[in-house]
Amino acid sequence: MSTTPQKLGIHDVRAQYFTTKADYDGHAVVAHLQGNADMEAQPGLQILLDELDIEAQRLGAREVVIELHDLYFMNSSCLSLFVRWIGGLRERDLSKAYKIRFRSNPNLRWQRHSLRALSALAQGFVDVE
Amino acid sequence: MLSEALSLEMAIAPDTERISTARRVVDDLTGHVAPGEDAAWRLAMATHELLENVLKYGGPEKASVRLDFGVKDGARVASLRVRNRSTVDNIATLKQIIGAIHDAPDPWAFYIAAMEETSKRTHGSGLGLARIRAEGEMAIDLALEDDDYVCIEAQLALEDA
Repeated sequence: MSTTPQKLGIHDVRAQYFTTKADYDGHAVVAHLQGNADMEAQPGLQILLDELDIEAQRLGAREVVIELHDLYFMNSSCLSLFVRWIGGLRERDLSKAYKIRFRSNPNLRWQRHSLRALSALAQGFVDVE
Repeated sequence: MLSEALSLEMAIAPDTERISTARRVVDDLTGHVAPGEDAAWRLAMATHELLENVLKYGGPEKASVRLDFGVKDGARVASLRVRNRSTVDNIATLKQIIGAIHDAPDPWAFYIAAMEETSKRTHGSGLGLARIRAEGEMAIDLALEDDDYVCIEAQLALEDA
């Protein structure tokens, strides 16, 4: 069975040191984050997470994948945006919720520690690979 | 008392680009001094978080960043100190947060609780110092100088060479 890709209402972020690109594969919405998520990246990341949530619900996606292979740093302000996203999911009716899957890069040490914290907060809504 | 073997000192008028530059400098230097450990990213992350705090809450003057590698009580340690001018209100907030961190028996439980609080707020994170303590596994202290200069020290125990 082939799936025709649907057009996503998600804008790519194009900051100087932070870029994103999102796709939908018929099952999951996948967002690739690249560069450094610091103060400069924060407004764009906020918009991205809002749009990911809207589109995941519209498409009935079971999963949103955050690809972090080329994300070299994240500050606590950007981390807090993920915290609020996860907090919002926890309060949602389970039938309308989706999972968040972080695809991490084991060579980037910040990811191991920060994703451990997000997993502890998420109580089953988050997978890390 | 820290017996200093290697020190780095920077004076920075923080903006987003200079903060990232300082983070990379600390990451690179620590990677040479303490290779094969998490020390490089821990100290780099702490540098970034502390300088972003200066940018958000400090005055317009340059902040000083000092990183010392040495020996304290027979153990290898790295000490990161960020000093800047601040306001009475911001200093009081810093004292309150660092006091709460000191009082918390479990840094990770404190950090997750701070995340829970953040998830209910619409602005600000308040996570930076808790992150340095929990993810960075660093001890945090605050010292005041001349009433309006604040110095935050984050100290990391290094593995034996």
